[in-house]
Amino acid sequence: MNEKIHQSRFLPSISSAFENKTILLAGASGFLGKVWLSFVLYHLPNIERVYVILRKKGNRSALTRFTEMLNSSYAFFPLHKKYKDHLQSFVLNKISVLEGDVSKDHFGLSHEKYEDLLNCVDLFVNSAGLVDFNPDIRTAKEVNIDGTKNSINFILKAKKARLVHISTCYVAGQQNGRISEIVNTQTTPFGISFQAKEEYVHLSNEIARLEASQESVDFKERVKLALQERGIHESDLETSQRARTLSQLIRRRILRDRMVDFGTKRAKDLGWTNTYTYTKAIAENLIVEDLPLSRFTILRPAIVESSNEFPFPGWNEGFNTSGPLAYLLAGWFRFLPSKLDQPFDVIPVDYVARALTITSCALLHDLHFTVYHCGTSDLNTFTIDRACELTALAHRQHYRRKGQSFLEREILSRWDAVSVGRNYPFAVRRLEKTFGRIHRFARKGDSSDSFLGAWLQRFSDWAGRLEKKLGQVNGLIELFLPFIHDFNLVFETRNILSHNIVDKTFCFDFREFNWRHYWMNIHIPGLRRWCFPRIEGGQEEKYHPAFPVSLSEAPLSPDKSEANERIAS
Amino acid sequence: MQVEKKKAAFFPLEGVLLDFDWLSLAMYYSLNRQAISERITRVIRSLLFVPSTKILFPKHSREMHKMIGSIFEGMTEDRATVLGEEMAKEILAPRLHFEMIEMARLKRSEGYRTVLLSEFPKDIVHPLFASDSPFDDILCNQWVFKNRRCTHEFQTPWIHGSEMGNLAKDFALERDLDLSKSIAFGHNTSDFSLISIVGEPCIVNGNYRLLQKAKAHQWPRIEFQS
Repeated sequence: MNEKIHQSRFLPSISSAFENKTILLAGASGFLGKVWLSFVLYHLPNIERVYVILRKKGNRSALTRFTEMLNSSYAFFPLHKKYKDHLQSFVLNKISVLEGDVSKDHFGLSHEKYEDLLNCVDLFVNSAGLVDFNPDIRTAKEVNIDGTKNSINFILKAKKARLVHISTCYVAGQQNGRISEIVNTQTTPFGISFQAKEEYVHLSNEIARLEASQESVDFKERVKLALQERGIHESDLETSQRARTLSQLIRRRILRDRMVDFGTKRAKDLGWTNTYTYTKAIAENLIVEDLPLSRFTILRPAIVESSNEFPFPGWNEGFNTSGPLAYLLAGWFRFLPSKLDQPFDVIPVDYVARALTITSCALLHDLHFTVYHCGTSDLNTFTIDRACELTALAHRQHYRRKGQSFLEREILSRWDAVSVGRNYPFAVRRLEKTFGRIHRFARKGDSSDSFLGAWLQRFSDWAGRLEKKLGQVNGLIELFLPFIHDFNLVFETRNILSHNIVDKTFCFDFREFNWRHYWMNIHIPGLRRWCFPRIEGGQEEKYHPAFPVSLSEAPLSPDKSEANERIAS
Repeated sequence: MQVEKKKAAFFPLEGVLLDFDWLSLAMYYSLNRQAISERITRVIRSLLFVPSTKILFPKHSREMHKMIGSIFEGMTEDRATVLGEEMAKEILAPRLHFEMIEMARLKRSEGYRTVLLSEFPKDIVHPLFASDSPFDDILCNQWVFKNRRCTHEFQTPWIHGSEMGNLAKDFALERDLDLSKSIAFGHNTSDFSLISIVGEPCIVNGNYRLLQKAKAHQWPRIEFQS
């Protein structure tokens, strides 16, 4: 697997590589998927067609979901701007939406459609994935592993299709140092002997065992206890519908918690940081074991964040990694546990879209490497303490210019966050413990109706509330500790550079990137617009194009192959 | 045929274009350090060091600037840049002497090469004249950064009052400028080294000692309410 990574592999024109190519895209509703789809349609309109596999959600069909996405997401803003009222015909000519699910056999498509895809697809980009760090292991397995297994089957059966699999740099797991652009198929990050197929079988067996445990006495006892806490007794289950529904919900929740715990524990025992990286690592290994090297490549982005240029500077969606942290630092939270000079491997989403285009082009030309890292720690290191300071400076600028009150303009603007060690006296977990002690101590104090008693009661309540809040903050920080504190990882990013892309539109060269400008003028203002309102429980800002696209009719194109026509119909 | 040499107009920032001293600057940076402990120690240092350097080092010297530089030591390049821009735009720009900015424009239109000289760091001076600058050249100090953090030193050539004359000489030599036809503005005695080397010195709101010298040399004077 170890390739010569520094040799140059010049790529012919990217535009010509994609000319008349048929692409199958899974994960188009994700952050990266959306940007890449928009990027390709904008810069490479000479492609033959993109087949987008999308799941049905509730009553909304895949086509309805895609149309809504196209008409409401700012990711497609450049396309609306470029094509205006012609976008409808452009999209009908270039995109086909398929209602399916990569985690199902044959992607959940009819036999005919699947067969046709096998014949016509040149490139399959699988960007579908469950990115929650510690989800229910069943869902993670289904999306991240079963989805990949189905992708492998597709490539093995396909006439010419090649696979670009989107993974993550953090499959490196719990280790420190430089991480090479290779897949370790022999051992886990802890050096434990590892076979992906055996692990898959083990995982499936454990999930089955946990599901079977629902019938165990211990499980039933827990459900009973939980019901009793809610004032429901076993006898009520026969008479009350509400009690039965609640019982079902509790059963599901307990099972889910067990599944989450199992996944997290298994991941950590083997050397990964969480269920997400563990399942992604199994998926990578399965690809490497089952597919010929000529038919696939793996792209591993680091922490994908706001766009730098495309669709426009600062666009973001969802929470991502730095969003909640930046939100915390915008308030009175001051001490961020992190290590000095620890790389914080953030990369703008449009750079990942460029990297995905380059790797796809290399794969189509047979000039690809097996693995591409897509990070910044190797080329232009951005550290967590620098991120913390730039975040504080960006908030400072915001509050000084747009602060709503004197407190914001004069005090909060100067309330700079600082990087501290985990054991710093004012670190959040210590504060949580301290306020917990104060809460319990005050509660034990004077319980009489005297003035002191009432005051102690109020003080105890206040300390309790603060302890709860700090607990939430600590929980959030614990989730991100692998990125900001625990592991000092530098992801070698050389393979992508060896393709020597000169065209500025597709160029992936991070060496001259200005972090200060990006962080202060693009990323944090972007988070403030797109991410913070959602953290505060608000609605996502929707785009309202002047010429909305309607895809209710089946897309037709006069110059398609027979297979394309059949799928489209 | 001998080609006529070009002439220059030298404008020191401190005193001539702006009434702002090192203590105010040091205090601003100190009060806006990242950690509160840093803010406290740097404010104390500023209050102690800046006034005492004038007593300890009546003439400008490298030791004096090292002492002042230690106030900024350890500050990140990002913070230095952001605070510099903030200070230039929000604090210094409204305090610029409009009359002297107009003077620079006038001199430029008269064919002078306008040169701004400043002891302040580049992070402040450049944003101050980022748009619509009346100056052709800006000569100012630059912090030396190590691992993206300020050291207590400035890059060479180190620009300060008593050295400004030599600096202007080197500048004129490099660019083939005629100093005898050039003009320089001065506000206090530290500008004397500069105004004494040009053919047309001029005093702007001069202090007592400089005014005495101006009287003796019959130099022209500009007075305005700042």
